[in-house]
Amino acid sequence: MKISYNNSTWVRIRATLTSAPSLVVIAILILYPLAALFIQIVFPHLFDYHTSWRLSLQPFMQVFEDPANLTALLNSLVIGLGAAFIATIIGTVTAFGSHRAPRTMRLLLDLTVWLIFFAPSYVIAQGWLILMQSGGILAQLFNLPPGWSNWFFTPEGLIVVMSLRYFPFVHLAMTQAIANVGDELSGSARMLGAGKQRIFWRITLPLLAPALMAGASIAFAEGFGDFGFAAAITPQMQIPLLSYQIYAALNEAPVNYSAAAGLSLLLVAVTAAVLALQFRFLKTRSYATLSTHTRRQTFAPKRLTPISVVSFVIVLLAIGLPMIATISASLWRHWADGIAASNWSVDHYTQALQNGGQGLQALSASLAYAGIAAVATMLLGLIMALQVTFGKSLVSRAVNVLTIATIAIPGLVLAAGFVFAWNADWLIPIHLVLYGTVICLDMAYIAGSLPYAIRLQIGALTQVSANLFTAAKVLGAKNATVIRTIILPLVDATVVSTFFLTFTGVLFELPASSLLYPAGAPPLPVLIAAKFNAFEWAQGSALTVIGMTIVLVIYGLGRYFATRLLRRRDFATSAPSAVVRKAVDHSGQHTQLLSDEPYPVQRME
Amino acid sequence: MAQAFQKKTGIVVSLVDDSTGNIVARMEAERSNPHWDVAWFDGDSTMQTLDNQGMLLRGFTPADMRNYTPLGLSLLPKDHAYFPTGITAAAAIAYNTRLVPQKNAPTSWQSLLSPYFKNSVAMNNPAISGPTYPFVAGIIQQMGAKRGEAYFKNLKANGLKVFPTNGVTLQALEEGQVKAIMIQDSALTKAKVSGEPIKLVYPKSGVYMLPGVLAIDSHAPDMAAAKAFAAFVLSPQGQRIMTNPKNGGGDSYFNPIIKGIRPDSARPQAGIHWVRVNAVSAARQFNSIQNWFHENIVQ
Repeated sequence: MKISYNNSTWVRIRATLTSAPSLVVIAILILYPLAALFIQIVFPHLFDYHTSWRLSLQPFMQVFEDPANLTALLNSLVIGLGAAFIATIIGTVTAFGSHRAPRTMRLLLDLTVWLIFFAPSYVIAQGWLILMQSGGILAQLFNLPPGWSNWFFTPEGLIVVMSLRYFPFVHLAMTQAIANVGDELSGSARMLGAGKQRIFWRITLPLLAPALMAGASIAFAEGFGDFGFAAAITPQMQIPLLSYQIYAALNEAPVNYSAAAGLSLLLVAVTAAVLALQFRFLKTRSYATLSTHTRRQTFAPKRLTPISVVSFVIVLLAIGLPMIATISASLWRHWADGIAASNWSVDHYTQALQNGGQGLQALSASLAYAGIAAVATMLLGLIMALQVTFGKSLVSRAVNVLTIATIAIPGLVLAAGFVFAWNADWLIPIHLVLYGTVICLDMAYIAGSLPYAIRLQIGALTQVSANLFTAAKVLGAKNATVIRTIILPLVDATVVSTFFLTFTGVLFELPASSLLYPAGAPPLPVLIAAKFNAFEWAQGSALTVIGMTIVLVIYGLGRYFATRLLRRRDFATSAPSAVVRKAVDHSGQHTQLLSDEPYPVQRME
Repeated sequence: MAQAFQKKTGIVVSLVDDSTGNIVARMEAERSNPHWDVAWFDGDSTMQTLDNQGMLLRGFTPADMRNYTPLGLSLLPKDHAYFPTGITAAAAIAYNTRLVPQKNAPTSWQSLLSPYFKNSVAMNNPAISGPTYPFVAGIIQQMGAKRGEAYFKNLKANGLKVFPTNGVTLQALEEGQVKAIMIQDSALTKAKVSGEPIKLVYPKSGVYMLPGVLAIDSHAPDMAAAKAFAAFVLSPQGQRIMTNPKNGGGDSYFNPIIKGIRPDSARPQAGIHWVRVNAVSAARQFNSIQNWFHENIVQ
């Protein structure tokens, strides 16, 4: 008995030790900066030039005494929940729409959802604005009277547009999950006489619950903490939102970091509470759908099904309209002349791409930052998601909770935390004042995207049955082998997702860029914002369109090479992944790891 | 400007070019271990709040102080914590000439209360846009608290729209969402020069003076370079670079306060009645006016 006790203790210690690096990463990137900010709620003078530990609860009390903050909290909750709810419906529809579409159509649909995912919020917001407002593009095209679109600029309109912005989180989580569910269970149900409807509501959808909730929870956190989008769509409505209160606290002189920290803590607490509910729900049962019996689903109809058509309409509405508006605007000479024939020109593009000009410099700097941050986030995200999903230690649970809570933190607040944390006095003697360097900026970028990466990965990994690993281990596979041959092929799509999510996010991330960029080297988003601030909207739009084009080209190239590379490897060596799939699909056929194409599986005889 | 300074002195300038709000947020976050040497933006009341916290170098007198015009000297605070570099109007009125014929053009702040401008006037939110606070504080100082507040309430009753920043407000004017707006005149001048269909109106009762101000960090990492830069900005050579829109864009359309320097010709000069806003009391009333505006006008 004693031996086994020791043994289990040893296992527990070892589990804690192996997951400790994750905690260190989280501590450096997220905990320490946030702590540096939040501690000012009670010690407002800690980061004054003359450090003072004078305790003061006043800023904290102010947060709760101001009735405007309560209203703002409620508004943010309603808008976040509303947007998450509709986004979940839309994302589920499009995920099934993609699943049931012919091959090329599926690629096209997924690509378009990707585009929405990539698109920086302000581009979409700006696009809707140019399109919908009085005197906007639609009004010019159809001669609509001023005020025709007042219904659009309401809280309800905001919720709908916001859900069109955030549904890709649900879509991406769901497509992978649907692919992983396979048709064994539904096939069995059909054999037992269940109807289509019944199978969908009783089997398919419940099995997809983890992915659904992972997507929905991110959509909620996004909508709840949103500032830019609401501010752009509804500037005249003035719905006080929690994020607006935070922004105001940071933009008034004297800047009130204590109040901003107090409000952010509120934001984080509410998000954490909502997400904790989600976890309680998920804990009640197992959602593992991937077992050794799972076959990649093969269903690919020749013709467009109605749900696919609906999906296409949705994605085009979500990205097509605002993008067309933004691209149009980038080609206008004068804003006031709008779509008049004489007003079109490519001047703004040639100016943006001038050799040695600001535009090109900022673009290349941001591409470098984005590349580094994306690779780091992709790797860290996967490793940490693995530990959270399969690690049983207290540490991995802590990491889990922390990553969720931090999704709600507005970029501006995290960025401010980075200034305090990495410019602190105590770092001076050990030469670790990272603030003002590229390292600090990239750390903030990674910190901002890591929680998303981890959440997306967890969504995919929750479905992997632990039996798969046990089986592999019993057969003598090492950890590395298990990861390479079982896990990676199963989460490949989400790995690619996290790379591009981070890459694009960084390319257009404004708050951290603006607070943390090394003096003298403004990155792309700062330059774009400066153009918008200087009323050179067409220039700003042109830079944005250029940035998005680059992302798309890189995405296309990346997919092309990955597909080719992996295909060759599979042919040449009958790679380990193929070995696993031998067990999986009984056919041992080579497959493509990085494409969304269905695995070419032969039916079992 | 930074490039010209670099050329002249060989001192390398690393620039953070951003909106006033972001710059101040950054300066405040850095305050335990400041990285900046010189700060420069529009708004002496905002700078005054930084001075009140002891963040600015006091008592420095650049070599060519005598270059200041009498107006320039009068804008200099007693403690020399910051130096005025030029003036603009915190707000002037601009109207869209495609929507408003000459005969209906506004002539005073009060014109915007008429039924003709119902639901078609916009301004910025002073909590977000730097130059807007001095405008609100100016109206309240000139008209008195009661009448000043009433003015904004009447504007609101007439359907005033409050947008976050210059960019959005100007866009609303050009797209025809509104007929007239009240924002900083240098921004309006720039839009007019670039060919947009707008006209500027300087109300006879006066416009509120908004000095651009430059300050040196009290704990500047490179104090000598900071002082050299301040002197360069106030020198005729520096001023000539600043007033050329090719160098400064919209920021070049200011009225100089250095002897012998002419403003850009695009800037209207005749018949403008300048009203000074007291920076010290505007800084003191900052929170109360901001809160009042947020609760009564914005929401």
